[in-house]
Amino acid sequence: MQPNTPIRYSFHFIQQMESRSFPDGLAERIFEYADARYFDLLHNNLVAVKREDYLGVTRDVSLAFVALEDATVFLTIYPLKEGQQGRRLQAGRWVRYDPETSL
Amino acid sequence: MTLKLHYDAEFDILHLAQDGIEDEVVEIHPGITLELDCEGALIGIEVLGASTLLKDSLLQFGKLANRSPVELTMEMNEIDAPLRPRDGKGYREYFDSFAEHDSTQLSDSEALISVRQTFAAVWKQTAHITPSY
Repeated sequence: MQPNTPIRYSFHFIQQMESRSFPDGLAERIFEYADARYFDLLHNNLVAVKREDYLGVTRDVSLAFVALEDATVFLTIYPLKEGQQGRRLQAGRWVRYDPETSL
Repeated sequence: MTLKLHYDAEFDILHLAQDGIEDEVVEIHPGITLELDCEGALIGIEVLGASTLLKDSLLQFGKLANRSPVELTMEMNEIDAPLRPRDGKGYREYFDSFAEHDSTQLSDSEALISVRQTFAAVWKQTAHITPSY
């Protein structure tokens, strides 16, 4: 991931924000302060996960994004079911990603 | 409540949705998630890698590419029959007992076929759209 690249919103992400009424700033907060980051081997994108208060419940919320050379592009955001993060790791679909080393 | 459809051509994401607060998502096939509201009702279908998974619909994707969402004169409950749990359970109850597809293996699963059937009804409504290219 290129450090400090500007954030861009995909066309889908913009439409999703309008139709789903996700709280303002939620995606940026997940991206900036993620509890964990993964590479999704199925879709070849990165995922940031953060525990957040969402709809009155504390739960993991994930943000899928891609890191292009000139921008970080937010793709989609969704709440995770309890245990889903662990299952995806266990299944090998998600692998841990360290933005410092890109590994 | 009417449905809205859009296609993100840059990242190959198709989204069929009615307005509503998303409480839970269920991935029924790698890349295909159902969005449920707090009552467990289906309010959206998101398809990542749409041109691969719904490859029989490529012409419609081109017509929809990066346009404002197309409003369809239909409701989710008119077209979700292929996806609906068959044993009388609600979506949430059904999928809680469903082995989640957290694998990396793509296959023509029953779920994928059901989604294709659902979108077949949607494409009929988009037939009038002029291609955007």
